[in-house]
Amino acid sequence: MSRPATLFEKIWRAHEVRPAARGAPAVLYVDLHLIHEVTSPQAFAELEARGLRVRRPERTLATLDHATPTLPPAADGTIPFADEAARRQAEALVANCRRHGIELLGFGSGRRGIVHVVAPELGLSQPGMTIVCGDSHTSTHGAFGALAFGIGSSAVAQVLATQCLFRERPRTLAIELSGRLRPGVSAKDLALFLIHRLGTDGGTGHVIEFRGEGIAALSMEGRMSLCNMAIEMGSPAALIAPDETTFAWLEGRPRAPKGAAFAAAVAAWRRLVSDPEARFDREHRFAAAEVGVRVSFGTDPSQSAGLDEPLPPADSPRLRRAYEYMALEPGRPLRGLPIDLVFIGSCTNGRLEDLRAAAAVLAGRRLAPGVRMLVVPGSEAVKRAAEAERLDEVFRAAGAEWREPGCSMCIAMNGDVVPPGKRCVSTSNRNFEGRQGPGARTLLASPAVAAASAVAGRLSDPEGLGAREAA
Amino acid sequence: MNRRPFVRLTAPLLHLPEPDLDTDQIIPARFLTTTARAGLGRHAFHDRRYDAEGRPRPEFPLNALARHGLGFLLAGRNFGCGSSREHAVWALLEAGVRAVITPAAADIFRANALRNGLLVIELPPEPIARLARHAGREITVDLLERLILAPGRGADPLRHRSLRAPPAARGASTSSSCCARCCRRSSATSGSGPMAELRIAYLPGDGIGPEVLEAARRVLEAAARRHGVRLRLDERPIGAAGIAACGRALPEATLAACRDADAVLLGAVGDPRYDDPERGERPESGLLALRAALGLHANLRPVRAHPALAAASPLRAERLAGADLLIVRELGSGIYFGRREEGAEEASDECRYRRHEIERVARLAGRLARARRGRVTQVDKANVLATSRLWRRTVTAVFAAEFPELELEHLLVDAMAMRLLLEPRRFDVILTENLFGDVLSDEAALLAGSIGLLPSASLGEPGPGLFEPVHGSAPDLAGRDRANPLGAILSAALLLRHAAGLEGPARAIELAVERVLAEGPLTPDLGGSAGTAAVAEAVRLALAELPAAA
Repeated sequence: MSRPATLFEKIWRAHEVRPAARGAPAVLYVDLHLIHEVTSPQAFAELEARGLRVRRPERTLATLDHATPTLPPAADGTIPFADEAARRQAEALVANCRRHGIELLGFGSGRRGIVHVVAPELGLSQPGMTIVCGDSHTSTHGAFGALAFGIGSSAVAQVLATQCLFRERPRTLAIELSGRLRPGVSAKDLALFLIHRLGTDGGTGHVIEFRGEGIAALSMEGRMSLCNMAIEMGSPAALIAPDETTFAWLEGRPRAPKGAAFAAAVAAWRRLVSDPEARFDREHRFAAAEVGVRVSFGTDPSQSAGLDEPLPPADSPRLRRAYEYMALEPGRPLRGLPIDLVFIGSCTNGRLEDLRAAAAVLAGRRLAPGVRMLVVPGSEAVKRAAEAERLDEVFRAAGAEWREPGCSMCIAMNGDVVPPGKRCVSTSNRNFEGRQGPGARTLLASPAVAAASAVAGRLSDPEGLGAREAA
Repeated sequence: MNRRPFVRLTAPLLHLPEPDLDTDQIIPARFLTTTARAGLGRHAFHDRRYDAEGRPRPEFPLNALARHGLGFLLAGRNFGCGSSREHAVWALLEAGVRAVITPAAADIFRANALRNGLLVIELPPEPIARLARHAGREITVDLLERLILAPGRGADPLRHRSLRAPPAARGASTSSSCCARCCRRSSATSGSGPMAELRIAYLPGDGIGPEVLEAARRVLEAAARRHGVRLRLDERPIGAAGIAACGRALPEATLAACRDADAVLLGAVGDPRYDDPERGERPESGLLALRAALGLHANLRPVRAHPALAAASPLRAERLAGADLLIVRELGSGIYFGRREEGAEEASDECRYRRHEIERVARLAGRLARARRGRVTQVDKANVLATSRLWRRTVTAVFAAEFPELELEHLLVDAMAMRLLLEPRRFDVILTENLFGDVLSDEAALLAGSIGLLPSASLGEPGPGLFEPVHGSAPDLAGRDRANPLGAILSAALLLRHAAGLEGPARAIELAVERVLAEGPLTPDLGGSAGTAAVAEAVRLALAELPAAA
């Protein structure tokens, strides 16, 4: 019998083309390479300059998401880009994909969307794979038991040219969640809780494996939200061992194996678990009962608190700066803080389940006066599915804007910007200074809390709204 | 894009102590709608660096880069967290940041930095705290010695061993890979490699020449031993010593020994007893004949401002700080070699350059600049002189074709004469023709504080190069153990570097000299009271105390 191995070790071993030697990092084979318009043009330029071709175009998938507008095309089909630079960048991706024979989920494909939403919903992100993308939230795909991490543009060029990557072998970190999350507490709250406890660099140099009853009980969407934010605690990748939830989610997806092939795949995927005796470099254990609804108050995702907790003392220059930037004071709770905008969407919380959670709160209610709310589905498929359930009508009736898919206000590259000094409750992943626009003040929260806050005009959870008034 | 590797660099240390500075701070996302790598430098740390009107905030450390051009960033924990955008690394490099020193960098940022030659140095908190005391001042990062040096007298705290890159864990990945090029070079050329023996024609000459060369020899031998190189010195007379020995300032046997050697190390020539025109051949003619016979076509004059000697320079210390330049002078052609007509009423000197003469020295300057900061300033008088215009065209073509990654600028010699005194640290490699180089070399010599410190190298191809201190034979000091040996010792370092490619031992000698300059003892010309031999011994000891090269 072979040495007990963690899930990470099993995937790593299966993909190591050449182990690390004499100071050179290992060479890792890449099963799936996802690209988008912002971090790929310099990589294609390098290929051109060196006369290289894309090694495995069929293992590469492109989409347009970061700088794409969320307003619909004009009557003549013109895409309303925020500026010419964004348009040129999108056109560059279209041209590069055509030249190199790469499939592009572009405008008019019916499949366009945020890269970390579209690959899973197609069934492309599968257990045991290695997946890379020029995007730090590639950790999302770890929800399927795939080793998935973000890379820079030079590495994108290397993967395009060789389908391999130089990679230092990370260490392993197990995070076990015993018990189940309480009702009303979401995977987003769990992510904010863990980042708060471990710190923004708690996972640096490590691949996380989330495990335990509380993790197994999460839906695929919830697992993706959690793995998505592993990078916010420093881990480029996180894993959740595939299980029945994973297999059920994958079955029937367009790019997942079909029929007997699917059954065979599931049989292989079942082996993708950490052996009972396997050792991790570090282990943490938390009780799900400890986790409550959380909202960020500062300028990094570790600075979060429960709605009724007094905000912590400003005992470091970093926290003092955060309070000043956010125009908040220590000691007061977050609940009741007046807000200006609400953003529902992003690769963290832009999936159907997230839209359902927000719509459930908004149904029969209206936004508080003066509050603007953007609802941006993660993909065209999510948009269609939501419209089939008439969620769009709920959002519109409440006074929210129902938009086209994209990264939108999470990264504020496409014209969807939070104005300076305004507070935005956002279901995205980063509350860095200026992330949603210069001077923007971001409060990270779950879809339910974001929707409830939109109704109250102040930070609130659904319970805080009281009984639903007759619409 | 500033992607050149460096082996050793002195630049200001910019302090951004805030932890968790994410890549959105380094380059906000709204600047990412570009398809190029270039052009991001001016947006680095945009929202922290500029006020709402777009004016640079003077208190933001990165704005010091506009004055210095290059710098090291001393950053807080978890630097570069957040987004994977490699644009952050491109922006920092283009803004002039050449290394990030941090307790820990975020994983993706570190990997991106590595792929672009942005050095990430991860150090424990204690040396970080000590480095922080030098914020705003210049430090030196030396990759060969794996040292970070900060100026200061007495026991220099930053020489501490903990500052050496940790050999294990993640420190190894950054340090070893980032300087792979230079480390390879050092390992290939030291130890028991093919250059195990170095033949040196050893020409002490006249006046203080024998004393300073003896000092240089002791240091040279120590450095060679340390790095496993064997030296074979062949001592020969030249100058007055040559005349005394066999009636010729350049005895034939001396010239033959030089031609047979890998390099020539020379002390000084000149003796006032031969000033009397009745006495026939002058000692200096021996050196001129040697230069001509070896076909030397380029003269290298490195000049560094040593912080400890700022008071000895006529320039103000703040102007001088950080100056580190190399003058590459064409030596084999130009007005000194043209047709000369001299009458009672009229005289003329012809200045003629051929393209290939310019090309070979331009290539040399380009190769040297690659191992330095990558900036070349070509000096001429192109608004008047035809030869200058040929220089400008030729140098531009050579650099466009062979050194596109280097920064090339052209300056008129009159402007250069002023700029050299006004902003000496702006310059890296100065490339110029023979006459201008002659004048500018002496002007630049002022910067160092004492002419006794300055080494020089004259290179030809394919024959051996000639390495000698800039100072002369100083007969009034001869035999009194008062001459400054550092110019000769540094010439020996140049010999190791340029004649043998032995960067490791060359750097080691230079580091040892720097330590002695900072801590003493010094000769009287530098305000000290030590003798030639004592200073040489101090350099030798400092050399022995250096940690072994990586």
